[in-house]
Amino acid sequence: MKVIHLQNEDQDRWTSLLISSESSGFMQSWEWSIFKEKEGQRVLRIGILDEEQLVAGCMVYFVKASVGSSPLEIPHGPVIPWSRPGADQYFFAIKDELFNFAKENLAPSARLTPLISSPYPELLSYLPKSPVDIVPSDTLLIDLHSEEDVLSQMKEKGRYNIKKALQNGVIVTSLSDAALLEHPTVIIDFYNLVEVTAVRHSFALEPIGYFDRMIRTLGPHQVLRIYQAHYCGVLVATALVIFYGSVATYFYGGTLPFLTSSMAPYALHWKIIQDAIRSGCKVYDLFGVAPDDQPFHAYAKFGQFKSRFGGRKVKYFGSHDIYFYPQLAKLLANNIIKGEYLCK
Amino acid sequence: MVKQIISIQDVAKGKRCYINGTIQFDSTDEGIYHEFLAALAAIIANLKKTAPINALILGGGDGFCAREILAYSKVKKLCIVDYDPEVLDIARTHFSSWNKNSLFDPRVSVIIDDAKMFLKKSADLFDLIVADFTFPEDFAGAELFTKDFFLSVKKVLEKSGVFATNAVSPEKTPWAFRSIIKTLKSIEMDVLPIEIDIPSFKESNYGSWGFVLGSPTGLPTKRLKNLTFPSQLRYLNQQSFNKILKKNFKENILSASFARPIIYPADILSMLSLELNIKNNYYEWIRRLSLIVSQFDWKSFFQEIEKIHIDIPLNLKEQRYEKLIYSFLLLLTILNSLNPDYAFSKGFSGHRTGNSGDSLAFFSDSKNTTPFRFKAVGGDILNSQLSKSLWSMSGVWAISRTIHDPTEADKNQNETLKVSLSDELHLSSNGNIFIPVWNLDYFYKLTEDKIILFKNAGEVIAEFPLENEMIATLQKTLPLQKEVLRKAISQYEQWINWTFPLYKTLLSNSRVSNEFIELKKIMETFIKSEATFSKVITPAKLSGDLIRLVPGVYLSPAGDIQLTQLDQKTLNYTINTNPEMDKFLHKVLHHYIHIDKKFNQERFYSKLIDQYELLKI
Repeated sequence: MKVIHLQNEDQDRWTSLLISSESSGFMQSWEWSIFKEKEGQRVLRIGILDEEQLVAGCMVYFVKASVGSSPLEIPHGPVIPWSRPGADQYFFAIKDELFNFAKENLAPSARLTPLISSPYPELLSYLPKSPVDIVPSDTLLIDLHSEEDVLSQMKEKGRYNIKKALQNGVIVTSLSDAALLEHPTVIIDFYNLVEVTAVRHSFALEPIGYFDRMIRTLGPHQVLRIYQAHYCGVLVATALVIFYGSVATYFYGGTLPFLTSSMAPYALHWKIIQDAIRSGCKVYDLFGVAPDDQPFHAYAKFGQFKSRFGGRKVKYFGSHDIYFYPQLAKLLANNIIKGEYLCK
Repeated sequence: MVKQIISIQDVAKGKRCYINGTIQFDSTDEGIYHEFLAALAAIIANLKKTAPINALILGGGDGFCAREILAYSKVKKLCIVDYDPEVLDIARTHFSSWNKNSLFDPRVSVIIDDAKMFLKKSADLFDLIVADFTFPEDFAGAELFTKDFFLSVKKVLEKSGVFATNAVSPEKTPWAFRSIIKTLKSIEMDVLPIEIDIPSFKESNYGSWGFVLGSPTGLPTKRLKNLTFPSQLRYLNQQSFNKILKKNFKENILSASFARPIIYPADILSMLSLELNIKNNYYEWIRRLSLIVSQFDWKSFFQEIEKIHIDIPLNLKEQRYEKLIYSFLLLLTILNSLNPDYAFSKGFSGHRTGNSGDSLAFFSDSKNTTPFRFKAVGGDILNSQLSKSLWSMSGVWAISRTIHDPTEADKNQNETLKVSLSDELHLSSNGNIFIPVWNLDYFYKLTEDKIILFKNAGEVIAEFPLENEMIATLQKTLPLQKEVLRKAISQYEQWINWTFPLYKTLLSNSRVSNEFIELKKIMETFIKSEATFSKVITPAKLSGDLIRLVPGVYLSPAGDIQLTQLDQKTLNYTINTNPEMDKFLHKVLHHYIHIDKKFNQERFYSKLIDQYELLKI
């Protein structure tokens, strides 16, 4: 077994490994890592070779600052065949490499977020939960066998509202990355609606530059589409969807607070589902619902809407941290014992 | 280059321009911003230099800083470097009456380029440089406040030259503001920090605003004290300037202890994130991190500390153990705030983790991303416990509820909740703003100076002061929603014109006709509401560690019910003083005890139960 730092020439085999992995997602993709670099983050690409085969690895994102380094974030990863014999070895090899890297960069911890659901691998059981989940740990997945199957597992209200939206004449269009670059107003229209929604529901929202960079970077790779639902010429709902491997992910969305009786968001998601089936996706991830035991969670309202499309609720392992004690001790010494960050 | 969204909106007395959702200028008070940033720098450059002045503006393609600088005849050349041709186009057209056609002045040359690239290539030296960039929201924006960037500015600045930069809010983000000052000092510039109040910024809850002036050979502040300022200046005069000179920037834990030169873009981003975002949830962070460190392998940790062989200063030995742990938790919070990747924490839970205790769900507040995008509540990071009060109407659909408002003269009149402005605030068919209390039959009505609690179709129960958070939400959401509504009406109208060339046909199509009329009616309610809330009195912030139950009703840390008074004070509520209030409070406590259950692990829970039982009687 050998640990390597993946180079550009490893992109294809990394992509093959990632697509075949059931416990990872698009944030571990090569394309996403390039986007993160463009965002100004630093990226470490770790690969584990077993008999010269790439069998595991991870994309690690972090930020350097004067105080030290941010936690080494591994969203949707690491990519490890958790159920296969040898998974433990791959995990510890990655952990050692993260440790070495943390030493060089004075990082306090690594933040793992594999998309695995219970029962969780024994070797992860000792890790403390992170103070934040870097991707939603509770989500709703719709299995995409056929349009008929999807419709039949939907709640009646969901089916009815889709029908109603189509009867109302809601028209859903979508643009892929390349086309988006030629129609920058679509990005602005998308952003305006997402911003209104974010402010209404007190959600954090990235600046428009974030979306602009995402679209430009992921552009040539055809993994991102923006959907728009128009009713009587009015843009009523919009969504940014990532298509990666066998999963379509509803990443961002926004709706107009008016003309709600048009039911446009239902037509929008139905079109996404149809496109995802046609492009060979097996799952549509609605990217976040409120946990069952938190009825007043900020996602509760969205969860109500999303649940009308049926699907199955999944609770992932969530973000967990590996703390690096030598680095933590150094950070403590540099920043606190020297008095710079000492609370008075 | 990244696309910018430019929008111009009508406000009470003029126009307001936003770039990417951030106020670029408000025609009623843009003079304050530009005079204190650019005119002041130009005046100082005039004092320092006898020969003609060669000036440079980085960013500032709107032409306002140029207007201020060009007022001085000594300025012979002015170069404006802005990367967005659209901003420059608007400056030459829509803004030209405000910027006095500054971009057409023969002394001006305009270069479309990235400021960093320009500085790298430039062979010229300038006597005056003004950096007028938008608020740093990402790495690209944050790079313009780093030591490296300021060094590249210094490289093209004459030794006796003057540099002025737009900064951040000294009030909302004192740590970040002081760090900008320290960064300029670290490259051996003499600096003059400036803090001013700009009404439109204050109104948008950005706080006071800051600029920093610097010069490698010192700023002649003594001479400036007695300076007669040019008469064309509307805001900058001897009195206002002397006030700035006298300003003693309040030292506090964040600004004094933590401020340090900005080396990496993440340095300033994390400060802003902490000061605007995390501070409102600070105690929640501490709680979560405490849970984490309770799982620490402390033995290994202390062994590592032993290995460092660092001399522990005497003052630290005297520190209490808790303070050290607290500092450590703060350090962990800072490290966690370094990665400003909101995509990874999209959305947040405004709630504690509830019954599950160890379930650490989403938690990236959200409401205060930057002073521009979302509001920022004032308060010291270590003192504000309002975070505990996170409360919203999530999960409640309030639209279409009918309200009989007892404060209206016509008691028989009723109105319907039409538009959800936020999870808490709803706009009614009459243009009033209400807060429904879950699905109970109680509502709050917002007026320009207070909130009125009433029972639906009943009587007024109490009046409370307006709350910071709701006003800030309103000020953000109203113009945004009005803008998308304006767009929707225009799109709908276009569609009607295209689909029904004859208006008669439209009238016969009742659905279309009704919807279109409805949209226009909503616009009227927006306009009415905006007119009311443009006069709003910004409320003072509440102090102390109160937990908000519903607007105006708080819990003290001991579990006593407290009501805010119109003078912003809070008083313990004595049960039995107001039967209607008793009934209301009983329902509120019922919600928290039997439905939401968010407090059932708190120390004061038994007290809450006691009060609930008393209220029941």
